[in-house]
Amino acid sequence: MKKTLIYVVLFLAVSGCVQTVDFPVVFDKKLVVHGFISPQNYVLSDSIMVSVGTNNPIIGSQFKPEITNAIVSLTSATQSVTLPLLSRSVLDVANQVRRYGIARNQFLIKASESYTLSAKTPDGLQAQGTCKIPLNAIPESDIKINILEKSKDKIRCQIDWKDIANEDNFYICSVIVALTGKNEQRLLSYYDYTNDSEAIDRIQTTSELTFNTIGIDYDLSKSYIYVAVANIEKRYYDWGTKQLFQQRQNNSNLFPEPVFLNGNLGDGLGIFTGYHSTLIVKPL
Amino acid sequence: MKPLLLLIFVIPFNCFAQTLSGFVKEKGSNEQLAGASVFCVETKTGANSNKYGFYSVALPRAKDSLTFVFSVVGYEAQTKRVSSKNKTILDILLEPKTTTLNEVLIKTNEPKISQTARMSFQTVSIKQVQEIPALLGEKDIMKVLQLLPGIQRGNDGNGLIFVRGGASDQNLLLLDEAPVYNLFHAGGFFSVFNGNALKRFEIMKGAFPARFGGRLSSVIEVQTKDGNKEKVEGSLNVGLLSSNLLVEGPIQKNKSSFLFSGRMSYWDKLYDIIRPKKDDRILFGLYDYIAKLHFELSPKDKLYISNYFGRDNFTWTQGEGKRIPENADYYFNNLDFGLNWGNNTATARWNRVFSQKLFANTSLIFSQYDFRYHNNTTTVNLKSKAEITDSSSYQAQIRDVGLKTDFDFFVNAQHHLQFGGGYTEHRFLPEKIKLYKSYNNYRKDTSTVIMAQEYNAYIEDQFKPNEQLFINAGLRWAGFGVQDKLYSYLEPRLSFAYLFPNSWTLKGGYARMTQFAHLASNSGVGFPFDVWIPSTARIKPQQADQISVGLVKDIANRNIEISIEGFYKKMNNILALREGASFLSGNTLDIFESSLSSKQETWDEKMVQGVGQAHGIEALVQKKTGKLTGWVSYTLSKVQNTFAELNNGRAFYPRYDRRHSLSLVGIYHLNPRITVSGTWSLASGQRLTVPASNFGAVNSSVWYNVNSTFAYQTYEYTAYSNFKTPAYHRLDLTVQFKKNKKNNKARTWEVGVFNVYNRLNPFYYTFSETKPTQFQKVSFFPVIGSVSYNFKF
Repeated sequence: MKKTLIYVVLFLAVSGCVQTVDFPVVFDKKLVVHGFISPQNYVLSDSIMVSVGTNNPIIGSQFKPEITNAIVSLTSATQSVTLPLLSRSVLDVANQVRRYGIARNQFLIKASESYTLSAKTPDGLQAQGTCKIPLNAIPESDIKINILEKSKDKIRCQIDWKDIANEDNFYICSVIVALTGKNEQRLLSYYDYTNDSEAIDRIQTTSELTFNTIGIDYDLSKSYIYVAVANIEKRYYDWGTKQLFQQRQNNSNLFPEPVFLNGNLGDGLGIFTGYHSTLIVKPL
Repeated sequence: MKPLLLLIFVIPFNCFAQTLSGFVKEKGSNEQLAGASVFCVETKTGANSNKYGFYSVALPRAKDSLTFVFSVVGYEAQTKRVSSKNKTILDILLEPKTTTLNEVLIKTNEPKISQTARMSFQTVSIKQVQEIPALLGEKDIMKVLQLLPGIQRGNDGNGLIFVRGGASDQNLLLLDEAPVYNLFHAGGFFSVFNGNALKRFEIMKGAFPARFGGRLSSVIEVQTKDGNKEKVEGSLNVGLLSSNLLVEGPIQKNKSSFLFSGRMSYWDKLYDIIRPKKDDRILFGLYDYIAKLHFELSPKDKLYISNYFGRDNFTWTQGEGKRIPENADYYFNNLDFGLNWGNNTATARWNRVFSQKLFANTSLIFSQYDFRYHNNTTTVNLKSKAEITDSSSYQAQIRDVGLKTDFDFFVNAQHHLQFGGGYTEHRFLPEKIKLYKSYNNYRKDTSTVIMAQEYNAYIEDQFKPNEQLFINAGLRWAGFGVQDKLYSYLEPRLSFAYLFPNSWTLKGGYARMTQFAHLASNSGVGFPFDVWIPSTARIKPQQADQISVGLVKDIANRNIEISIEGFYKKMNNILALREGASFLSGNTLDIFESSLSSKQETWDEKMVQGVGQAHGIEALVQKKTGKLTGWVSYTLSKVQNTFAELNNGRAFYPRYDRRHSLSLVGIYHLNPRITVSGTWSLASGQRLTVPASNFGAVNSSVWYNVNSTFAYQTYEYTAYSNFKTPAYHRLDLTVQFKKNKKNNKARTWEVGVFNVYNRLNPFYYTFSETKPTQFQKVSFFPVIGSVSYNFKF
């Protein structure tokens, strides 16, 4: 009896009451467009690609019909092209987007030039934005990769590079450790945004990068580290960091504070931006 | 310097020969009574005792003898004939009213609310607090404050207050002169103040006298009892989830006294009995105590030493756990998680009566609030059996040591000067982080300590040029030294009251306030991980200018007081966390996560500053005596904040902006043994920000681009405060059954029902964990019954 009473009291005292309620904000359908362009060859593709999709209502079906009939155009001061729809990939299905693209040799991306991307659908959705490719890339010789430890359990490294002088710079540093074993290849990745607001000469990744290799039976002689350091537009930096901040809020806070992601696509969501990168591949 | 000279020049030459002074005390305990009215019937002038019970009034030359009425709400008034020829020192003992049924109302000479000049000021007697319904019977002054006009509540069941559009950190709470930085136990459900040990509390919302400063929006003064100097007595209160004990008595009869009041919860012990999983152990407990010593060193010297200490502990330990998931590389073995927070304050105060006209108090003050968090996990790899330890700990703290002296100079019937100054050494520890990860032997041990010095000096004159007009003019200097920078501000203060015939009074005031210590709030709901930070070279002090004006009316024959006030407040340099910043996550603790900005924000870079403005109208109809007591309060207010870095630079309503707020409080003494009380609150909903849609956003590394990377589900936000929650309302009822026993013993059974008609007010909104597309309202407090037992001995 005593135990029952305690149960009742505790239930009344601490039980939260959960009710499903109507979502208070009316949904406004928008195009979601992403385009990242660079004068360099992309590592994983030789095409300029733009993804096009739509946003979802917070409440209700999360299934989005694919946007296959958009008119997507890319223009510069001297060139203009309409990007055709590409064939659907596994990634497109996962992301609920379709990609529009063109071979790089059919549209030249040059440093310091401005480009405009626009996307329109027959039902009136549209997005349009402009970006400018940063003038400078970091010379290969200015990037230093320090491999601090190569052991069975971990690979530790540190990367630093010389800041581009006399301008405000924003960077993204991307690292892939490609481990090749007897039966498998494993890619361990890392990327990191930074800026030169407090840099004196060189910029360094925040701390030693540690890739956990416990349980991966790899052959050191067949393994590589890929490092790309890109000089990026400020809006690219803002977009990337704020998006990470939002993820962090949503994942770690029961009462997440809003983080606004401001793209540059007018009525659409997403971002169209440019970067100028340098890639180094080095055996481990 | 000019204002000071002006104040001195306006003091006219004395036309009063003698002074009547002394202490007003409670009969039976010798407890000194603050705010007691000393009213001269013939001259219709008077004064109030200060917070140490000391009063001083000038006697006119012409009169042989005068009649004085000494009164305080809750005590029988006392009338004394006093000769004006002699130097007179008179200590008065007032008897507490034992019953309200046979109460004789003071209809003639007791001053009414309209005759006191204090603007934007409110108090509720501790006796009333004890009779007002409370969640689980836990009496709480912070929740009573929420029922007063101009004071908005936070979430349901939470004691956070927001005064006249100010944030929760803009309230200065002084416990026996010591600032208390975290006011709550259990994340806001219970305040740190154990009602049994309190003597009085009051709140000022505007027109602040110059002696107060340091916060923008309110000053809440809480005084503990001194301890009974005549006999040992106490009380024991047993509730469902916690109990408290009070013991007080003389050390040397009528010369010195002690008081001890302690409170402890035991809900975690109950939970521990019934918890279903033996692997997990979750414990949450709290305790606090107030200890006080009071010595009358001489008729002119008194010494008070008081200490408050309170802590909350939350621990979650997990032993041999279950594998997650079934075929994972890691075996989850052990978890040790803990949160621990609390306040510690201590005050030594020395009262000195230098003369009948000059009273001084000097206080040595210590205050500390700290918050600690630790999370230790040990995992064992299934393949290699290697053990990996991952531990993190975080600590934040603020510690003050200060000295202040305040003088009360009762110059004559027209002037009461108050002046003084103080110095506080602040030690801020915004974050102390320790991290260790065994697999890469990663260690981080960082600590940031900021020392700051706060200074102040003030002078104010309570000036009464005639029977109709009362003016309080003052000036305060506030200084703050931090990181080789000295902030220095002058804060003018002015309030007035003009008494019209028929008990109407017009009141008004202006105050400038500056704030140097700020709360960096992670959640906005009063959880303990809120961190106190100082103004720095980068973070400017917050500042507010407030004007207020009001009308007050007494309806003497019905014993009802009515007041209406309007206010306008402009705030500069108010603080908020930068979008996405947090003191307990991200680049402080989860540093091991990749894909986070390497730009390690320092703690002050996480803050942004902006402006705010608030205005509103407040009305209060109050009945303080009689069989039925209580009040009706209503507030109409609006507050908007603007930060360049938030909400795309547009103004927005903060979470606590509630347009309307209405409270009804009634306490009915059915007979000497039974008291029935109830409160009903109605308020506009809170302002929340919800996303407008979601979409997959590509956060591209250079080679992933849109070619091969997965998009993260991301929220589109269009504006802050785009969702107003439904109106808040709740009815609470309590019945107290009192019985007096022999030898001054008494017992009270209290039966209460919280949220009588089961209104499910939201505590927060969230998306369903199992069905992410469902939006859910979570309410913590349905209808809850409580029983408690109080025994006085």
